[in-house]
Amino acid sequence: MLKKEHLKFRIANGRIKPVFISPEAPENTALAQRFIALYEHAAAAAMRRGELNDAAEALIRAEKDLKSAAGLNKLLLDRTLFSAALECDYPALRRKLFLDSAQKFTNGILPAGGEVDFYGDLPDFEIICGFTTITPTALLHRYNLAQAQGLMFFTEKLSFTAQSSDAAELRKLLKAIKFFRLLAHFKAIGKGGISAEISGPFSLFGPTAKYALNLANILPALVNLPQWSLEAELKIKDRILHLKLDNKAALVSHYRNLSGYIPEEIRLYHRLFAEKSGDWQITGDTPFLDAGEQEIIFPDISFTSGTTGKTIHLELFHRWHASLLDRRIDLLKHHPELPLILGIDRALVASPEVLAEKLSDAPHLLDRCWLFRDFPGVDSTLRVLKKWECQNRSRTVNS
Amino acid sequence: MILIQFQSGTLTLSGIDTLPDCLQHLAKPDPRCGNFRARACDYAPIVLALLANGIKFCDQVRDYAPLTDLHLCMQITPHPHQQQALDAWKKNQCRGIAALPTGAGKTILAMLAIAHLQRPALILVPTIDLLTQWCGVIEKFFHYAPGMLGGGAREIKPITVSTYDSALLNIEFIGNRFALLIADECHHLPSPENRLCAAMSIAPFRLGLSATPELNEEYSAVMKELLGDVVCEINISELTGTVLSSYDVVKIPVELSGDEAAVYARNRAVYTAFLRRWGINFSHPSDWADFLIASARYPSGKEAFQAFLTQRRIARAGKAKLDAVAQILLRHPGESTIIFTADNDAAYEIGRKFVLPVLTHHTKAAERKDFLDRFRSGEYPILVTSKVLNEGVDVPAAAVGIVVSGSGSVREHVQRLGRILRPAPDKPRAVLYELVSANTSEESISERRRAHNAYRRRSC
Repeated sequence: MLKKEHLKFRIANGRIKPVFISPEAPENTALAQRFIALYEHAAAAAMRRGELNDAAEALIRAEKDLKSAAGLNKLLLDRTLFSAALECDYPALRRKLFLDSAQKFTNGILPAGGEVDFYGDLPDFEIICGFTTITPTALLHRYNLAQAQGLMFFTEKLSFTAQSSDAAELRKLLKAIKFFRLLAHFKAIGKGGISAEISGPFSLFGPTAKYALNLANILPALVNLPQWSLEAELKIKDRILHLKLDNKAALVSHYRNLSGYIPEEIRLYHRLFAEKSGDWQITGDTPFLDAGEQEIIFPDISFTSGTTGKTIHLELFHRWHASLLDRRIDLLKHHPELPLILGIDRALVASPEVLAEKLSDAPHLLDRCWLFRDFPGVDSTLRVLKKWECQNRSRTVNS
Repeated sequence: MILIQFQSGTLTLSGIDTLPDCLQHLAKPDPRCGNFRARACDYAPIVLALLANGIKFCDQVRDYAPLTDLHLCMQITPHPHQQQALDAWKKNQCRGIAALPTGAGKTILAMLAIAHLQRPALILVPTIDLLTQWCGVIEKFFHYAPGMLGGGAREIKPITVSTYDSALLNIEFIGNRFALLIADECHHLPSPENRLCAAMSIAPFRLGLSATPELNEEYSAVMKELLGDVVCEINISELTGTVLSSYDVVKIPVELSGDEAAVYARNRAVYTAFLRRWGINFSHPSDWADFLIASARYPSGKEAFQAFLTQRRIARAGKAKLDAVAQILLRHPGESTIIFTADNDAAYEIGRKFVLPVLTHHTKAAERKDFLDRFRSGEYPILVTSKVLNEGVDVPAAAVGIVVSGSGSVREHVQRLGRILRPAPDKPRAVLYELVSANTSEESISERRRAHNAYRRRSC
């Protein structure tokens, strides 16, 4: 992360705009390379922190753009590990010297230092013990993202829109919002789109910077989406400023984005389903379900019935989804009207008996849940879809 | 029926479509969750309002129970001023601020408050030194090892001591686990971040402690809202010679040596010319940032910044000042002395020159404790520090203070004086020396920081 003094921005007409540097420009990659080379050399030579700081300071001072240089340096410093100087037991040395000097002072004699630097374990003397290197382009991308994140430290709330055909990508963003304990008011916009205003629980009672770091931490998840935009209100030196960013800024997240990869079993599932499903079709557009009270469901697959035109959503639960499954079952108990069926990996629920026990107080949900191994089969999916359709029909008749 | 729950430093009120009139000023609709939300600190007023209006509610907020087994393990006979403060606090529904000078026994007052309420308490302190010190006092008086939050420790117990910083990170999770909130050096509480430590806590009972609670209008209002009124205020002069040591304040003008005076004048001229050139006069809090930006942006900026550092270093800890420190130390052989500086560099320069223990934020926890223990026992008669001993830390034996350099803050200066006022058997009359480089910017800084009644009658 960058500090306030590293942030570069322009202000005009109440708007604030971060100043990015082009990761493609040769002069910028050369600049990044100079700093990376310094850190690689410093790590190989096990330099002291003070020596590294001096060398980096000289490099920064030689640049025309001091702020950008200092920013790049800060990002590299964050990737550097230091360990205490170990060549001497300094605390023991100091104890001995201080006891001697105390004796002298008590006797009215002024001790004189100078022979040994008994404060040789201060931070400046720490030795580099590790550095995670990075390519110049990646460092420049990191710098740009950090500039945007840095401005968000002055943010009290923000709103965003995001668009993705891949529900998994949107789910990651939602996960990040939850992980950072933020609250959001979601709206669906168009196909695979979502908009939200995010803030912290206490934000309702007035501006607070408490959630600024949490909001800034959302950014890497947001910029991973193919289409996104955000608007934020910032307060800098008592001035209210507006920040607008979108995917045209070409920010690159350091979070891994594996969304382009479609596993083989999913391709196979889609093909077999098309062959066997008859009346049912897999829906290309998988919207999220807002179950209220901050519970947003991103289904893995959605199906539409050719007869009724109704859509039902499938959510899959694997071994790492234990608490989520409990929450979802609880939700369906209270909201049986939700068009949702659950596929559960046997690694999570071992047998139909265990599932029955889990649903003992809501046996009607048994028809909406089934177990699979690794990945659900098409036949079992179709069985559950038919059951749900029957249930739905009887619910409609009864009502 | 209204269901009230604690959530992330707030209260959620659900099960109702509209807010009862008696809660209109205490809670708000939260469209994000479809319920109503209130600040955790409004827990007591909400409950009282519902009870007063006969409205049924289910309270799932508190996650604590009374500590009926908690008793003082040794008799405390409070001084009259402590009893006065305790009575005033109790009379104010166990809320409010006690403004007592350093050394007047604020911690003892807090022990009496905890023993009176017998309920879980969260104690907020500004530094790690104070964190360990408070834990030691609680252990001594209650034979109870409290929880600690800060300095690498994270253990929550019914009585927990936390730094403000750590409390801020944790309060949204633990804000419903304490009935009593004690804010030590409570002038730290109203800052925009720290105030959330109190606002996100449901504690109905609150006690603020400070020797220097004077704040600007906005911060005073925040402190009053979150802790209560100042229920008791006692000046240093009221306790001097009885509860507190008698003391003198001696200001020593230090003439810069010929060489240093010339270097100072040259660099000061470069620095002030740059300030004039860019219209920076430090009349606004943001002027310092403007100076940094200007010094990075303009060609002459690097030279101006270097000149600023040089003239400041000479004024703060030039050779003449170090000579003055040596003379004072020789004047008080064997007496417990604390040397205060404005920055770490000056502290270590003095430490290296006179072979002295230096306490800064760089000092590791074990050595920090070792330094303080040996200083208290008299093994180390002298300690050098920049700012970490400014507040609260209990070093009763210290009788001599030397302010080599400091800021213009009245609070900092009063707190530094407080370090040498704690009473101890056979302690000589305390004296605080203030070294001021003559004909430098330090003269005006010194005038600013001495604007407190503690300095007016006792200065020589």
